[in-house]
Amino acid sequence: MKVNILIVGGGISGLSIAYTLAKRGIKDILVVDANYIGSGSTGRCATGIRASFTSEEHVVLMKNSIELWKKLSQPEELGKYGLQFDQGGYVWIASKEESVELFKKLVNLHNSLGVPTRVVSPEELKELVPPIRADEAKAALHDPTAGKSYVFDTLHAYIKACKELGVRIMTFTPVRKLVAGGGKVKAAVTDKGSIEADTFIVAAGSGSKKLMESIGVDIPLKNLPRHIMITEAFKPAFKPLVIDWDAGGAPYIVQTKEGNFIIAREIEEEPEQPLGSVRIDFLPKVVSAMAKWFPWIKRIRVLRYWIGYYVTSPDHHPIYGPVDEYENIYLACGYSGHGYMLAPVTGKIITEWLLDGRPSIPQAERLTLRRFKEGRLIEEFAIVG
Amino acid sequence: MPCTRNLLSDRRIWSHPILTFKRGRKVKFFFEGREVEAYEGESIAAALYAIGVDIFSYSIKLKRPRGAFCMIGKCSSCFMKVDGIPNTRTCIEPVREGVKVERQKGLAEIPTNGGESDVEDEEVLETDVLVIGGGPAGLSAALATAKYGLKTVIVNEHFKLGGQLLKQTHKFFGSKDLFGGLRGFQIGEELSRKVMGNPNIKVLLQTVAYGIFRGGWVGLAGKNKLYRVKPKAVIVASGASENFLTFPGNDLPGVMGAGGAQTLMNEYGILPGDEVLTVGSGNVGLIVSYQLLQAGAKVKAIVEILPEIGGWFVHAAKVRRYGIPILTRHTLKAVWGRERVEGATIVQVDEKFRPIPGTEKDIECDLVLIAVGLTPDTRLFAQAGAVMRWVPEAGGPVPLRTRYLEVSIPGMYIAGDASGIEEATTAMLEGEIAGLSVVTKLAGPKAEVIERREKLLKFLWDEYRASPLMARAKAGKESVTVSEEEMEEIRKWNPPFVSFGVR
Ligand SMILES: Cc1cc2nc3c(=O)[nH]c(=O)nc-3n(C[C@H](O)[C@H](O)[C@H](O)COP(=O)(O)OP(=O)(O)OC[C@H]3O[C@@H](n4cnc5c(N)ncnc54)[C@H](O)[C@@H]3O)c2cc1C
Ligand SMILES: Cc1cc2nc3c(=O)[nH]c(=O)nc-3n(C[C@H](O)[C@H](O)[C@H](O)COP(=O)(O)OP(=O)(O)OC[C@H]3O[C@@H](n4cnc5c(N)ncnc54)[C@H](O)[C@@H]3O)c2cc1C
Ligand code: FES
Repeated sequence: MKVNILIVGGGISGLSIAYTLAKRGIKDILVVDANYIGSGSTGRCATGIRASFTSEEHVVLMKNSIELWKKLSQPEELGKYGLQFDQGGYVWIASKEESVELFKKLVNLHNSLGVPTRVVSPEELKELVPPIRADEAKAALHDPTAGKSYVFDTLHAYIKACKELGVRIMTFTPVRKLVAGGGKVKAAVTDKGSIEADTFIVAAGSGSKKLMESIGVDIPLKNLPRHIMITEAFKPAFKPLVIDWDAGGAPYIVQTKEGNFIIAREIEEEPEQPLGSVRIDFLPKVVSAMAKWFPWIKRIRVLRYWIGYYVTSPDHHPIYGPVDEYENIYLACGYSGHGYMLAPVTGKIITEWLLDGRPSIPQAERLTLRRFKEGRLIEEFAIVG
Repeated sequence: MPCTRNLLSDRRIWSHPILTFKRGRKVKFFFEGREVEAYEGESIAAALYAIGVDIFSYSIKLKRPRGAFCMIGKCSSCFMKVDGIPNTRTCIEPVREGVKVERQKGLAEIPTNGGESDVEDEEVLETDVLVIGGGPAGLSAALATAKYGLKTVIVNEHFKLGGQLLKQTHKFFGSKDLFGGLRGFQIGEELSRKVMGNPNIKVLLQTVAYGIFRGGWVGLAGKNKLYRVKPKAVIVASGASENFLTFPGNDLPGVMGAGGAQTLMNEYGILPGDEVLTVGSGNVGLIVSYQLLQAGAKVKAIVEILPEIGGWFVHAAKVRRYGIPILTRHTLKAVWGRERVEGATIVQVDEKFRPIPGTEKDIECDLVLIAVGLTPDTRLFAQAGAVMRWVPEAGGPVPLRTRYLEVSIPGMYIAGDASGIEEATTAMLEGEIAGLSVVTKLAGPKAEVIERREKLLKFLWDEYRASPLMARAKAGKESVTVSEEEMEEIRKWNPPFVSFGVR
């Protein structure tokens, strides 16, 4: 089989890239996934979307992405297929004085980059999140532009729109390896035969590293297991995603539009643990952390608990764009836990690289694989949902 | 005539040709602020049904009235707010003096008011064996492991031990060894008594095994308490749940699982309806129809989509003798009614099971029984990563297992309906076999244990399942039973993330 563009990976990145390319009139795009659509990190994520980061690169990309989320959710784009962007905000709770000081600095950075965050009092926190017990909070950082969306609706909308634009999607087709020669990638080998393409895009999440190894390119990614759970559903209780900044593992909670609460926190983990390998200590850890703010949480039932990978790069920023060794392959991976919110801008960046030669957002150009060779790592220290 | 009822009517059965119902002491509790009466030992759902409550909740989005369907904690249509806690499955929650019960209209509010302080800290339980499920399979398994000195914890989600035996009022066949001559619920009581009295067994009621975790931990959730256990072996005997059908009106109160009706009628002595249409002519459909007749209901018809009756001839002959028509090549088209079933439309189907227009027939009734089979509850196996296979004859996806009932997760065993739908005698046999396999593994091979296990295996496979009536179930179980060597090979290809005990 031969196609114009082959996208390996049917997570939100691959679909967003396919959609954006197709919208610009590109034909003959094929998306292949080893499993079903969304079976990687995408279907396992918390769907938080925010621009309140601590590096210029992240803030600028996320701001762009939020604008795109708003646009995508309009009826004339993907809104008609059910994609929603629910701008309920984020709040970060500080219970230590030094964190309040840090928040003030962050707010200055955010504001200077056009993200209107501010530090709010415990009373305002209580207004934003009525069922919280705010006594132990010193202050909170409120990001009103942040929000959430709903992963299955989003995927469904992308699939529908992609198919409508003529994109083909092949599921349950793992790419075993890539084949290259003469400075070009030639084909992707699958159990159903080889697929040749003019251009290859690797948006294969936790499978990206192994895939690139098959053509001798090392991408410094680690698959870190992240644990997360969802509870039974209740009437809407509060809108923002709430993060406890000062607790170990930065626990967070968000209510989905169906009413369930998604709750997660970081726990110490070895990379590459199998995804089924759930841990009994996670549940009490995450619940007791959240019960400090929401005592009623001990009274509600957990429906599901699962693990997904944070596909993490050394500087916690994505790896975008071309590689030095081959002229016709592009990377879109290594989001380090933020690839869902980035997806719309990921589509834009990769599309522009392909069609216009370079992305219109200059910060994106700093995020190629080359930065690790050249030692130009980017700093970011707010790595949560 | 469609049957309408007033709240505070009494659906309890006070005279029955073969059964007498032992009822506990009277208790008073509150239903939406009103004081009502019940008998100790009843579930909240049963007690409410008895006084004429049909609607247990209103659906989340469209606020449609919902009735109870399964009565054994497997379907969630009986969710109510109990003492302030929303989404409580009232069919497996015992009624008690003063308990406050309210219906939910759509989603509940978060339970912000109090209650959190009585959640106790997690406790680590020490035990050799964990048995999950207190039906005939689990009880038999626990008795076998405890007999050989192994410390055994048995957990049961329901507030009573005995599982589905409690709703079985027929006399069992076979030898005394297999409880021949006793009725199902008597066997259940007998097994429960033995288990409760055994010093090696700790029983945790109203406690659910919620997951299998890295390092061989099992999580248990009781009413106000969490436990974690690291057993040397775990036997899962979690039973089965009833299948459902899609048709307009399938969520109307009065559409009930045949097993749900059995629970009300045989376990609690409550008449589930007056005029009944049964869907499905397997053994369950036939038996429950007959039992309803005995309890005083009128069974209008049994519809069966296949060209032939599914259940055994003896059972079909019995209901026919009482004049109940069994309509083969018929299916349910729709059920109608406002707040409870008032009638159903049935329709004939062609050889491809497509409804034949013009053959519709309306039947007035207040109860539509869904008796279309059971699905093994194998969720814990799937979650633990056991290698499973879809086996229609077993009722759904079931784990591969050895003859000794160990699955691909080392130290994890299966017994009873969970291993593939059969019935209570085989559940008890499998339970004991699994228990003895655990004994062999943990306490070393003892001649006496091996001998007993071989005897049971021989009886199960060569005699009990040899009956032509068991052919289908036998074929199902055969197709997922592998040799020890094959199992080792399966494990090589599907390395388990968790295992129990020393290997
Ligand atoms: C617990 C958790 C919470 C998170 N919360 C958030 C959040 O709140 N906000 C946020 O923005 N991000 C969050 N993330 C991160 C986010 O999920 C990911 O960054 C994002 O989903 C990445 O999308 P993707 O399409 O690049 O990768 P994936 O969704 O992993 O998709 C990659 C796909 O490639 C396929 N694939 C892999 N190898 C091959 C191969 N060889 N051949 C064919 N197909 C292959 C896989 O099957 C997979 O479907 C979270 C992640 C986790 C685990
Ligand atoms: C609704 C129904 C009706 C039936 N009617 C008949 C009949 O009339 N005649 C007949 O011969 N056979 C009938 N059967 C068939 C059945 O094979 C046997 O009667 C027998 O009860 C099966 O025994 P078991 O121990 O495998 O499961 P069960 O008797 O179902 O016992 C399983 C127990 O495990 C508990 N449990 C499940 N999961 C968990 C968990 N995670 N943690 C804690 N506890 C758990 C359940 O609450 C339950 O008490 C029926 C089965 C069902 C489901
Ligand atoms: S869970 Fe209670 S009726 Fe099914």
